[in-house]
Amino acid sequence: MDPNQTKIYTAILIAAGVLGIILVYFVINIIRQQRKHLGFQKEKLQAEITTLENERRRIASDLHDDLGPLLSAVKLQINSVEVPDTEDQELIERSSIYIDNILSRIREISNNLMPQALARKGLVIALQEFIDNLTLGHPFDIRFSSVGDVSLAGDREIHLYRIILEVIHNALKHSQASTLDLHIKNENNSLIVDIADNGSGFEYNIVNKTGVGLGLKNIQSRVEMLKGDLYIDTQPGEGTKYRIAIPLYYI
Amino acid sequence: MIYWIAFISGYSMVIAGIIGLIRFKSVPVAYQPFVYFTWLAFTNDVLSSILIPIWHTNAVNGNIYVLLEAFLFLWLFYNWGTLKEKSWHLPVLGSSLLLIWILDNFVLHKITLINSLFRICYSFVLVFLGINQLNAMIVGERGNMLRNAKFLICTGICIFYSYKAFLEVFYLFQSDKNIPLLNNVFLILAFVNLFVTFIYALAALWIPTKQKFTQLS
Repeated sequence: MDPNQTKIYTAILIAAGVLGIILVYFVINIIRQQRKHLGFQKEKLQAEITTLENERRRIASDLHDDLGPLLSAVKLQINSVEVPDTEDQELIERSSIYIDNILSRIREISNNLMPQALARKGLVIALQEFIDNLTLGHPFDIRFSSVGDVSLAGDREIHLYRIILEVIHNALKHSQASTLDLHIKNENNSLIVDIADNGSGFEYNIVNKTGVGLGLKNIQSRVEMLKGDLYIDTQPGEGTKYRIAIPLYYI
Repeated sequence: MIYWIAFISGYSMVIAGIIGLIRFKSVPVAYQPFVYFTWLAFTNDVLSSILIPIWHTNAVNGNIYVLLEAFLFLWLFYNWGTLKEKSWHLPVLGSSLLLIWILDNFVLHKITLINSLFRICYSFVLVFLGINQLNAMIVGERGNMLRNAKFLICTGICIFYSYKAFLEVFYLFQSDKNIPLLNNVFLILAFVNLFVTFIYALAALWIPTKQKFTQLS
């Protein structure tokens, strides 16, 4: 080959290489930026969830520990008042009943915000209490079982509790399910939560893309916070199956 | 013919320069290196037009211009935060480019010749920085990108310096017999330059204005 031709071919080859390097850098960089952005979004969402949980805890504590005793003291003082008039006596009794109602409502709100049973008795009892309250006078059937020690340390338990509540809420509100199976087990240093309902199911990709499933996003974010994995098996008309695997110990 | 196309293409930077000059007071500090760059590019073209008839080359001013241009863009990317992620990015990049420039113009070749080594290296650096900034905006920014000065400047940088790096490789393998090929490849650069200066003019037009603060009085 003519030396001049060799030079031109070499130049073309190197020039093509230059463009190739730029193209490869572009692709690698956009993937890196995408991951960085997703990580940032995830962190933001998790910070929001943490703030929300802290606020819930604070409000629940204020209601339960401050307002509750205060109202009880008011009730005690009202009841200790002795009046000769029967009309006044009835008024005091009615006021006492109102205070009882307010106290009971405060306890309910406080419990919804941050279940006392969860902090005191653990996940299983808290879930059982929630299920008992939900199915009371409701045709919704929830079969709940657990195997082994299914407790998680610290704040992690509240996230798992919220995840399960969200799934039950989805089954009840969006899938119109009549039965739901909830099974929790401790397996190979992981907590496995299996939930299956007989509801209408959904097209996962559509719900995920359209952003309709805010509850689903919430579930995903909380599972990510627990360093776990979420699997969803669903089709329209075929119910929904969730499997959540949470590692019991992670670095 | 090629000279005249290159001449018009070179002078087209005056549009972005004038827009930058008119808007200079309202241009935020972060974008000022870009305005300086448009003036520098225009000044270099004027200087080349004066020097070529006298010395038959614009190598000296061209070699100095590319160094200043590289530093202005580094400053611009530093202002935008691309080079602020790690404190060593700017000094390492700056000193490396300066070292390559000295090597290219005083050790390996003479400054009186148009040297390609530094031009290839700084083109690569600018393209990589441009791509990094561009991708960050594609992924994270909201709003109309076509009216985003940063996006337009980065697009211009990626287009122009990708082609420049491509072109300079041919100059590295220059010989008497392939001059017609080089002229054709260079002619394309003139058109690329024309297109990019148009993008720069739009960018100069859409540089955001300085943030206003309400004065208490």
